[in-house]
Amino acid sequence: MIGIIQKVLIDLLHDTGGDELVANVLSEAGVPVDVTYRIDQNYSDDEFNRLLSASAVITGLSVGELSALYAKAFLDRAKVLFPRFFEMSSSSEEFLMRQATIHAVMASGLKTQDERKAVTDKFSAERIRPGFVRVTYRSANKLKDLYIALAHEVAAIYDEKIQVQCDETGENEYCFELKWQAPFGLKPSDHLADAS
Amino acid sequence: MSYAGQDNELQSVIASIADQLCDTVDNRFDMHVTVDSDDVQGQKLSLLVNFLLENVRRNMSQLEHLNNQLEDKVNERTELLDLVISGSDDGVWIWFFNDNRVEFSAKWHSMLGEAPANTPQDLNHWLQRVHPRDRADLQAAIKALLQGRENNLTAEYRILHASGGYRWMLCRGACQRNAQGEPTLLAGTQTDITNMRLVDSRSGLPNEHYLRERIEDAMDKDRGFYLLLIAFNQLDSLSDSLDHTSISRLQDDVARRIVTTVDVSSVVAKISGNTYAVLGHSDASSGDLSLNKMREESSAILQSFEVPFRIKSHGDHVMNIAIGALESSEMNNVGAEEIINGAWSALRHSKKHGGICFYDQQHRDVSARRVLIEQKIRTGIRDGGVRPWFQPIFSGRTEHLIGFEALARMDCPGVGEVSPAEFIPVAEQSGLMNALGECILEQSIQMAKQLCEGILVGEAFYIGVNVSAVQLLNNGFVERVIELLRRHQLDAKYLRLEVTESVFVGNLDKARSVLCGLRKAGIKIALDDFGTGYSSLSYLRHLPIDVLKIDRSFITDLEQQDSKAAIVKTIVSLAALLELDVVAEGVESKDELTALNAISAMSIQGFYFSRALPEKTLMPLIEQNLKRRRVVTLPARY
Repeated sequence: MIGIIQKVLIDLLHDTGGDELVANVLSEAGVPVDVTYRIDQNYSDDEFNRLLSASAVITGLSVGELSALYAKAFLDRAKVLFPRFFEMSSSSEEFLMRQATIHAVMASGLKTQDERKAVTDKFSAERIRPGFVRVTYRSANKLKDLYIALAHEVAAIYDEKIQVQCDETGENEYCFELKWQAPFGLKPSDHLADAS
Repeated sequence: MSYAGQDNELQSVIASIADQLCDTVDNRFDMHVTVDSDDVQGQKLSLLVNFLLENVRRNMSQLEHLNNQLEDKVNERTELLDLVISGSDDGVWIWFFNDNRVEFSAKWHSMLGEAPANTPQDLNHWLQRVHPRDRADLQAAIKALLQGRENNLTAEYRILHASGGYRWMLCRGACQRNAQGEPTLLAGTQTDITNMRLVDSRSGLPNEHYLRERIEDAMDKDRGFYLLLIAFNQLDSLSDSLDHTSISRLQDDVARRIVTTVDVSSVVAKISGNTYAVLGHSDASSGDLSLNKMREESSAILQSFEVPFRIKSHGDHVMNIAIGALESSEMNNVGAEEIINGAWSALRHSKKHGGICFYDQQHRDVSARRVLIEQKIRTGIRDGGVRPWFQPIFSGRTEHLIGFEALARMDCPGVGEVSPAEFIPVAEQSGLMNALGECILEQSIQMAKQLCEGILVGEAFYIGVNVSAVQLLNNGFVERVIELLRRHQLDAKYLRLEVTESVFVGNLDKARSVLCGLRKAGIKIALDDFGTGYSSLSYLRHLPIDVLKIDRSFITDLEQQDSKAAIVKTIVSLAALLELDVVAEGVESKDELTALNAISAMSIQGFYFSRALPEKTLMPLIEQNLKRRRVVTLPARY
């Protein structure tokens, strides 16, 4: 898992409860308290799961609440670090279609040569028709709530509304059906005011 | 960290990434770029470089996958194509225009009995082997394809085999062009069609095509030869009475007897169902030697067929044969076609008189006249030299003019008088019956139109036109007749078409269908020469016929021969039962007319009333008949 994901969580905890909250969560998750997450490195999926669970335990938030907070924080950070990805997409539908590729390519790009041999892309997106995208998510992490929160947050960035339906289609496999209300999409310039 | 420190760290990150990227110079993209920096922008750069590398890897992988798929597809198609070509037993050739190089497959070479070439060859390797008589046609076919006048190349030619003989090939090909439409290569196949072209599949003997080639060869080499055509007319009648196996065996025996009788160097060919040919060569170029050998060989054949054939369940059977013989010195400066025609001419003569007929000066004259007549028919059809004369037909009892029969006549300046009995067989043999028939039909329709709007306005009459089997059974005949009537705006009631029983033999269903179509268009059908052929009553019952024309052989001296009168009475009764009109043909005397009138009311055609007349002399006769009719009918009106 790409380090930006852990880094955003740790920064969110720090902004909320300072060093103490961060230390408690790390301790609860069994992660060394002096850990530093780099955005250009790969970390284990399990470690993030433990951090997320520990965050819920320590803060007393539900997974859904935590996911919503995290999603907003993550996208705020992404807008700062990778504004071009947002400029390239004229609508949340376009962005979420591109997200699957960005995620897959970035995640595999950070793996070493040996690790790449067993790479299976977690996300794949298929546009069924305008305003209807089907995303397949394959991972043992089962972070489906996080994806749903992120999808809604992305739609909000583009001032759009989205319906997300999630079905479990197999062991460690989910299918998200994303449906937009017409008219779809806005111009990139309409969304970047907040990010700049 | 200070700005200067940050700059230094970023420079170090950039340098590190750049160094690592140098590995891509060898197309190595399977790498992972790392940076030793806590700076997020440095990490971001590293992240995106890895992102880029991953994208490159993925695209390369996809390209490789597509390439593999394409290669698999190409291999699969190539294997299939190889299989098809190998199964078809064809040779393959590819002509590359950029360097005028032609590649031939191993099979292409082996078809010509030669070993595969190790070096590239040019087009001449191919063209020089093609028979001189066929080379121009092949070159023209290739040119037509290259110029885009044809989409595909199809050519048949003889090509020299390593054994010294020629083999017939069928060449097919197509042209590949560049974006400007210019040819870049030509490729195709070559199929050996020698057997298909030169061998009679039934007997396994060479066919007429092969015979013609051997004659051409002999003529090219100025070598004397003779040609015998041997006809077995009984084979046709025996085919009706023997089963298929017996007739096949008999044909095999006949062929074997010819082959074993003639000189071993002679070519024996089968050129039609009941006609064989023997092509023999003189030992020297002397015509006399050739002539003597021809006489000896034809006599030997005639003699050999005096021995009967044993036909299972039919006992012994002697085959009567007719031989037409031609020696090459009898015809100079002619082609193979004329040689064969000359032999046919002699054969026709021998069929009439029996035994052997040698082609000579008399045959030459007959042949020359035949050729001249054929030319006259062709030009006559085009320029009006062939035209109908009209023989009037009358009501027997009232002697009123009721119709005409159109009879073909030909103007032949410089040839002398040419009767239909002479030019019709020539037209039949030359394949001109269709054109001749249509020419007469159209002129007759024009005449009918002229009469019904002129001298015979308001009168009931018709013009009968003879239709040959070839013409009637030709596709689209009904539509063409209807089109002619429409073009000349003639009511179908003025046209009557006359057919003979020969039309139905072997073509009953098709003939019935055509006649029904004509009848549906309002045209009446007459059965000509009734009583001379099979006179099958089933024809009368099943076919759409309106009129019976009793053949002249039953009419001549009818008043003196009770048997003829009885036959005519029977035919008339039969016609009455079937509601058919009757026309008596060939009535030449007052006594014949009286006898016919005593039997029944019928139509009369014959010299007693009038011969066939050209348009110019026909009109006074019509006028005279109309006047007489008015004189007779006037009192009745008052």
